[in-house]
Formats: sequence, structure tokens, C-alpha cells
Amino acid sequence: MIEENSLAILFKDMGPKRYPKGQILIYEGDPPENIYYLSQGYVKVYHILDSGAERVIFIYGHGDVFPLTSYLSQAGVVRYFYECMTDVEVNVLPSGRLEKKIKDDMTLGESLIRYTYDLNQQFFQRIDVLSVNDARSKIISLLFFLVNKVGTSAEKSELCVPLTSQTIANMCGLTRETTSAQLQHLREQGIVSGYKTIIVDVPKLEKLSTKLGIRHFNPKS
Amino acid sequence: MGHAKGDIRTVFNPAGFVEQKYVGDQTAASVLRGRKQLERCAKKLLDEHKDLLILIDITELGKTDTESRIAGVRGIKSVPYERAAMYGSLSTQVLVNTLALVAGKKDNTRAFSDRTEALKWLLGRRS
Repeated sequence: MIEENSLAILFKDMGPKRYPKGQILIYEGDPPENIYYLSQGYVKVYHILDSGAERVIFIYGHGDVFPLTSYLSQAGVVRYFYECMTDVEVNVLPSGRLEKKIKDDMTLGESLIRYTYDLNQQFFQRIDVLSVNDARSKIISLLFFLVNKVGTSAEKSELCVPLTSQTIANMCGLTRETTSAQLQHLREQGIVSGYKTIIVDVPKLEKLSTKLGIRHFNPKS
Repeated sequence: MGHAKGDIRTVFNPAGFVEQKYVGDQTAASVLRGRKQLERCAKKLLDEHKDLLILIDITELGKTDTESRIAGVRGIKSVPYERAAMYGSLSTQVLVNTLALVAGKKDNTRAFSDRTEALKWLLGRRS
């Protein structure tokens, strides 16, 4: 069932499709022939470095639409892989049909512009994570991003995607060893708990980031 | 330093196309002024039996609001151009491509990240 939001209306006629965890929905270099509305689950966006390592760029969650920036920038191809982090349910709209639906509909056009603007803000948040120098700051900034994208709305926010130390390392551009050591330090401070499901104590995380002077963007706060 | 309010400059390039540059935050009125400048160029070229090709620099485009975007869609619809190539940041590319979709002129309106690419597309298909 598609939740009613400003972009959901575009996908109303498209029946849901389900894909299992690990399924790649879009391959790097594919033309953006289809636009996906994610009604359930999480999708990670990544590229593969020359070293063979996977670098996770972004995570899409419920209500997100992709690869909209690739389509609307007329880049011709999608630059990243899009893979299901969990089982997902999506509604798929061929981009040609999107073109027809949006023609002469400024309300939909505005919704797309506002949505891509919000998405840009989230990308800036990811850039913040990658641009800070030290490992601790990178992980603290990433935790804010994860709370925002995949966390439950509670002071002790449960991150609803499976996250290993390796996945977190891939999202920060750190080694797994450094990531594990930093996470352990945050566990000892009571900021992070849980292993299979990570729980973040948001007030404690905010207190620490303020103390350390770490800039972060948190639309939920 | 803040952006100038809705400054738009339009010039004929001797290479045979019209160049327009948007600087600063735009309003419906400033976009309308830009549209009128283009329509004047279009008329001149039409009188000379030439196609209107437009190169638009949006690298210094500031904020836009709903009214200015609606004015943008009207401009894209009403100016009788053959092709319009724009260049600017990714977010402005997304913005103008979305407006071109709404205006139904996706195929002859394109945004690029730099001037060279934009010019290549604009002039590359000239007969």
C-alpha cells in the first residue's frame, strides 16, 4: 500500500514488486529507464573502488524515490549500484511514463523539485561524513545520518538495517579495524549498544558531538 | 557577499547563438524580464530566417521560489527556441530539467555541468 505523500501519486497505478535482500535493482552504467518508489525496506547505493572495496554512498528508505537525480540531470546513465539491504517492496514507473505524467503538471514538478532539494541536503550530510579528517568524527557524523535515514524516532534510536563493522567502515572510508575500535569506544560511553541491531542514544550522541565541535545535520532534531 | 537580486544578462554571441546568464536570486518578475529578452532575440532571428539557439549560464543562479519556477516553465513553453543548453551545478541542472519536463520540451532543453559540454551539444547538431 502506497502511503499518500506528494510523490506517491506518481506511482499509484503501478503494482508493488518485491525483491529479496541482496538483489541489485540498478547496475552502475544502466540508463535510468525506471524510477522506483520504495514503499518498504532499505536500498543501499554504492560504487566499487579500484581496490575492489565497496563504498556505500547513500541509503534509501521508506518513501524515497530513485534514481531521480540521474534521471533529472539527464546524465544518461546511473553512476552507482542500487542493492536491497533488506527485503524490499517497490513501485516501478518507466521514466517515459513519468515524463508524460509530469508534463503540464506544475504541482508534480514542484513536488519533484522539493524532494530533490531535500535529497541534496541529505547528500550534503553524507559529504560531511566523508570530509571530516579523524575516524571518531566520521563515525559520529555517520551515526547522525543513519539515525535520520534508518533509525526509529526515539531517544534510543534503533537502526533498522543490518550494519556490520565492515558496512560502517565502507560508509566512512575507514578500515574495519579502526571502525571496530571506535565503535567499541562509543559502546563504553553508552552511546552505541547492540550488535545485530545497533541502538544509538541520540541525546548522548548530540552531547558528545557538541563537546567535540563536530558539525552535523539532523533534520529530526 | 549576498547574491544580486535577479540579474539577467542576454547577449548575441557572434558564433550564432544567444547567451543568457542568470545571477542571484530570481523572482517571477526577473524571469519574465529574461523571457522578454529572449523573445526579442527570437523575433530578430526569425526575421533573418534563423533558428534560435540559447546557451544559458546558471552557475551563479541563486534561490528560486515557486512563482519564479512557474514563470520559468512559461518561458520555456513560449520562447520558440530550437535548442537551449544550460550549464551549472547538479542541483540547478535537476531544477531546469524538471521545468523542461513540465513544459514538455525535454528533448530540446538540456543542462550540463560545464560550458564546453553545453556548447558541444548546442552547436554539434546544427545543420
